[in-house]
Amino acid sequence: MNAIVSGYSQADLRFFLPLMPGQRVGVLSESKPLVATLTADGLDVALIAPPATNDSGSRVVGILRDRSDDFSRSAKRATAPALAGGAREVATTKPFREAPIVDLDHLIIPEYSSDCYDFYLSRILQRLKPGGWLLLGIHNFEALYHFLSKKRPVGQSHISLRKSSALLYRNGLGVVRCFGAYDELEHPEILVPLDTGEAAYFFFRNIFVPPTRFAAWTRPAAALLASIGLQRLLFRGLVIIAQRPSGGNDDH
Amino acid sequence: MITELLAKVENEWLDDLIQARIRIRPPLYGLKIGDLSSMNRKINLLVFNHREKQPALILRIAHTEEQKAFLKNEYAALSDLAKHAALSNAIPLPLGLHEHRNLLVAVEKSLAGVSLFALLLRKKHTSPSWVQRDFRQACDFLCELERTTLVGSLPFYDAADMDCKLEQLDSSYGPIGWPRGYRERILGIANEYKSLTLRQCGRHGDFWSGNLLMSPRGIGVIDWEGYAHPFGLFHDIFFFLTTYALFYPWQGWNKCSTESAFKLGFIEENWLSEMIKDTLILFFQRWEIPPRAIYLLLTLFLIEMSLPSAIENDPRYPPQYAKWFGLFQTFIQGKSLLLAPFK
Repeated sequence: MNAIVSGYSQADLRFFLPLMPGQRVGVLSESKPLVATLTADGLDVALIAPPATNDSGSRVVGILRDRSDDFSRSAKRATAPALAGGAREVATTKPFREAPIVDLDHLIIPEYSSDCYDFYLSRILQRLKPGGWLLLGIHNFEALYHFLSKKRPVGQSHISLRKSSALLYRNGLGVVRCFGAYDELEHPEILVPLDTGEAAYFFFRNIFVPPTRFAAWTRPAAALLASIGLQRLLFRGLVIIAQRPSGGNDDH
Repeated sequence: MITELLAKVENEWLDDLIQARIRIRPPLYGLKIGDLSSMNRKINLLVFNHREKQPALILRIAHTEEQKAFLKNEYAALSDLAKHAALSNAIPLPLGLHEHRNLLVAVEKSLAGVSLFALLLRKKHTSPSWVQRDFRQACDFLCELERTTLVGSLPFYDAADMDCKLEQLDSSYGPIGWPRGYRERILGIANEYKSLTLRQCGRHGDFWSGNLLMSPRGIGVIDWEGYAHPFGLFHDIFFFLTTYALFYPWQGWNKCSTESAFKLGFIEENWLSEMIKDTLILFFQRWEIPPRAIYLLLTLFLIEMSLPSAIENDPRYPPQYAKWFGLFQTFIQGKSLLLAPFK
């Protein structure tokens, strides 16, 4: 897949949030087109860098912080590498100890993968203002693809929709909508609503183009599973749209 | 933003939809589809009523000035074509064009069916009887489009026009090694048929299998952004048949290179290349254009597609004209069975 194309696919995700010019949007993604288009739309983009792990890969030792933080307002800001759309990323190995600042109107995480899912995501979510929206892409733990495919994805941590919903709930967010990303989170060209099975049924009946003979054989079964409400098992990537209620920030 | 648009469909835009006899049953769901080949992307959102397996509407959303111009062109074309009863069931019925923040949103009725492109990649509709049926449906639609949008005729291309086109190719791609006697042959045919006329009518502009929806009720044609009027008759039929040959699953689930697929469709002898040839002859027979003149038009079509200016504002990445030049070279260097009766 062409990197440019995949970046532009992720840029489309911005249409799923009610973004307004002048708002501050946190982005945890390497997609330059996403950042560039958000900036072009008049949004203040705060880049959030992915979690760093130690050698064992099991514990977060440092969280990179964006320009909104006090630390990033230091001299390092001047030397930070310029990124697409004028946003800047500031790197530090300093452990994240102080209480997070609640500064983001919205948060976009097109593809989340971390060994420390709960801990790291909770820290990021605390920065989301009341009434703020979250777009979170996860690799679907329950996808039948993982059971049927011989390929094992490298460097991806898989999370179930249920676990993600529970985590968001604990952090004071409610899931508003959920979409199946086709064919992958890296390039979510088609987003199928999973609230009911009808749209997924239509997708497998009318739109889906099987890349392999095996996929062609399983297509009718996928349509059948969608028709009985098991559509969440049919997509490798899920995109969750959630919102923090306007009333409170820490109701967990 | 998409949630807001769905809310507008349920409330603000509802009266227009009711007038057009479109039933809206909330809560609505939106299935987002995009164009993988395009960098300059517009968003298409299929809108489903609650508990319905077919989308009721499609929202086409443009967010750049260039996309907005294309979308306005499509909406105007559909509004015009929808007045013709013969076409109205085969095109997306335009239901409203709205500004929302900095977006332009066209609301259109969704057409039923599966795209011919998806069917081919599923290895469906690949037998001779299906192919013949699909070709007939596509040609019937183009004939109907020609009938309803005909505005007159222009003189056929003469030798000077053809020479100019060949020169343009030469200047775009450097000196081209033309096959021996090719240039003279083309100019000779152009001279031979300079007394013919070519009808001017509406052109879809992107008439390929991905934009043709096949259903038991007939054919539906989507994506009218490239509509132009008036335009030469031949563009859509050649674009359909050449791209059909490229996407036909010649080798089952194994990939077939673009050049090989084109050769199989237009150069080598097989049932599908025969069918493509027969379809072209039959299509142009209605306007009394003989096979040798069809050969000239096909050459001209491939030249025009090969020029960097061919597809205006082509949003695809990379641009496609170089690929078309490869097809043109294959075409002129092959000893085509398709062209044999034209000699």
